[in-house]
Amino acid sequence: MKALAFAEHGGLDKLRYQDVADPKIGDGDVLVRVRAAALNHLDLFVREGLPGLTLPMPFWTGCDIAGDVAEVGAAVRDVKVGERVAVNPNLYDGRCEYCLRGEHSLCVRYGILGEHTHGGLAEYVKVEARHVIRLPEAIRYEDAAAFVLVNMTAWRMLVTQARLRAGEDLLILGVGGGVSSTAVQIGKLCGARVWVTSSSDEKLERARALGADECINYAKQDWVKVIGEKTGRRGVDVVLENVGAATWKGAIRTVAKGGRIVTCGATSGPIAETDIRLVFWKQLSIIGSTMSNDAEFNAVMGQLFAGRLRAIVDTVMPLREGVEAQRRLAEGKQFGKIVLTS
Amino acid sequence: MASDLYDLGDKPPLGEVPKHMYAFAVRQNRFGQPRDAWKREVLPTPTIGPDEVLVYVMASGINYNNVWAALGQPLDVIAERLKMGEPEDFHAGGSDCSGIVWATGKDVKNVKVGDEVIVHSGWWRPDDPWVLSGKDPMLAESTRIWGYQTNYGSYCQFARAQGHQCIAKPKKLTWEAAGCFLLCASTAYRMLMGWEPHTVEAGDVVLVWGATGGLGSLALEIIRAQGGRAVAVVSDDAKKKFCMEHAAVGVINRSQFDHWGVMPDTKDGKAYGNWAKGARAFGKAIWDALGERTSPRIVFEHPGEATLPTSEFVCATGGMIVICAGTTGYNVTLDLRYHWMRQKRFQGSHLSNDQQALAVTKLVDAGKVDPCLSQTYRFDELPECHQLMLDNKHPYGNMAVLVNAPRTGLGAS
Repeated sequence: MKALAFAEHGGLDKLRYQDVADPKIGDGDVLVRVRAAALNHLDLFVREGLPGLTLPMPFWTGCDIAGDVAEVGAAVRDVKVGERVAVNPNLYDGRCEYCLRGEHSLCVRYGILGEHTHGGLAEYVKVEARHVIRLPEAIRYEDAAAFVLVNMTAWRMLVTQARLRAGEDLLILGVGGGVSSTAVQIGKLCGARVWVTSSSDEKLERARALGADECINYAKQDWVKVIGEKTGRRGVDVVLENVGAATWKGAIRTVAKGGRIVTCGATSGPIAETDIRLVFWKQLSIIGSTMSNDAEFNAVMGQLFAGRLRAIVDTVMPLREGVEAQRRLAEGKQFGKIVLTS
Repeated sequence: MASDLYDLGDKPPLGEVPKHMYAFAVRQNRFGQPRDAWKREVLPTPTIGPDEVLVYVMASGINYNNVWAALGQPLDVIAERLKMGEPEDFHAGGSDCSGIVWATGKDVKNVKVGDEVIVHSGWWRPDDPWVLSGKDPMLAESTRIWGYQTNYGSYCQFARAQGHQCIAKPKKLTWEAAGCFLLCASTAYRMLMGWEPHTVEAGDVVLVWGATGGLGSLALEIIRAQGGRAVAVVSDDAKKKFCMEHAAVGVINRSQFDHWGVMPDTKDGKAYGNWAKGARAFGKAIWDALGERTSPRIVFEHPGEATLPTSEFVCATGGMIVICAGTTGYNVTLDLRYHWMRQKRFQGSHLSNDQQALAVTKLVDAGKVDPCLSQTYRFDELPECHQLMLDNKHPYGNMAVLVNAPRTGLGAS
């Protein structure tokens, strides 16, 4: 089959649309004919190489996947060949103390399909049968693929971790990213007033179209000051933070007493200088979050299927043009997801 | 005929309030070393509002906040109050007490004159909309620490408090034991039991920094009462015995490590490597102290700057670091990678609400939490007690001073 693969870690020059061996499925697996796979920064990080991550070469990434079931293992009963599905990319052992309480993304052996095993930037992918979810007729492959990873992440951050409530103020820093942009619509679904920042007026307009109430261009205005003034110095209840070092101090200042800052990444650097007086005087919760458990995955997919949330697609390109697609992602020009089809 | 001023321990008839009283106070021109800043004075006895009570103080606890009040730093509490329109140009502090209700305002329903009480130090405006809406008052705009940010605390013969602050005194405790513990205990209780889902459950491992202090010792006691397992951290071997007596399952002497303070730049490979080596060795020391490879689900923090990067590192996946102070400094570097990959939580906590103060007092009343009274002092030794605290020479646990109680050992029944 064809895959967007690399034989060694490195830059875009290592990536090639090439022939690789077909995956072989086990008794409990299904083989999915990939119709659409969306890109994430994770695809770039893995290609460049992550400390401690040793992969079977050639390797191909891709953790946001939708397609058709092409083959099922001997022990699989409830999935049938020909069904349209999306893939839950969680990999976990199902036995550790965290799995036993349903906290799959805390699993001591946690991994992500497409990061730790061969992924969906290929014509076929092997998936455990319990990790495919049937797509309703109305849901397109491109939308399903674009939806999965960022929404399971943002849903856990806002609904489970930050416990966002109707009437609260939610601030999303750097609204161009995949998690941040979809967080706008999840915030609205929760009934919050949503504040967003970006250095691009165009991205702010896109966020407004998704329902953002207050848009601040941080290149033109001091966002901490604006929020302070507009909330009567109270601040916001919840901050969704994945910028890190560059915005951290502002986030701590901007969040209200008893507020929550939930973080899933740090695109500007992970070392966060924190004045802890503000943490204990304001009794803040600073919560780390990654991916989601299966229940959260199912819950957020349900929102897509019911039409209450939608996929945010930047561009759709053929898989064979994947090098260009990854270049676009690396340059940060997109708003929403870049989807590759095959 | 009623006297204008009674000697300490010389009781006026129940309910009769003299015009003046003895109190220890700080004035702005005395800001500095606690032994000089705190002076015994004769002050007018305060009048009370409809929601307030006057408590005839039997014994008072000593807390670090009134070391700050003496220093005038980091906050000049007198200037703050003058700015808000209060008339007094002195600070008569004290945030922990046992005593007898001597007068009540017309709206006070939960206590009456003659009741023996202890007083918790959460103070808020009764008309604060946040409080009226039923939300946690410790997050209200008007919330203050009684006897630090408010005047006429427990270093007065008659302390002024809000009715809701009063809790029935645990009957088995002497005045000094009842008066010494609640600020630390309620703060520790909120930290350990107030932040769902990260509350101490049976078998949980909790790392407690500064375990021989007032706060740390009460944390050890509360963890035991909840069935948790405390690993205590101290700064010298002499303190180990105290921790084991207060139910720690293991003790670590942190002076055997040297990676404390601000975490080095992750790009400086050598410095960061040394730091990580120290943090890993400390994590192993926790396992050794426990006798198993389990990392703490809750880390009980108050040193702050010196220890927080290590706390973040050793906290279990999905666990919580909870903090209420920064006694070694306030500037902390967090490595967010541990935070999100291991889905940890960093939680600020401050004092407690009525429910939490009551809950921990019940544990004391039931004999499940020891108030950790260290030593009892005379009223006139009060400045020296604060000096001991500033110089870090105070005895392990919580100090008490007698106010109207004539000697130690009274008040228990």
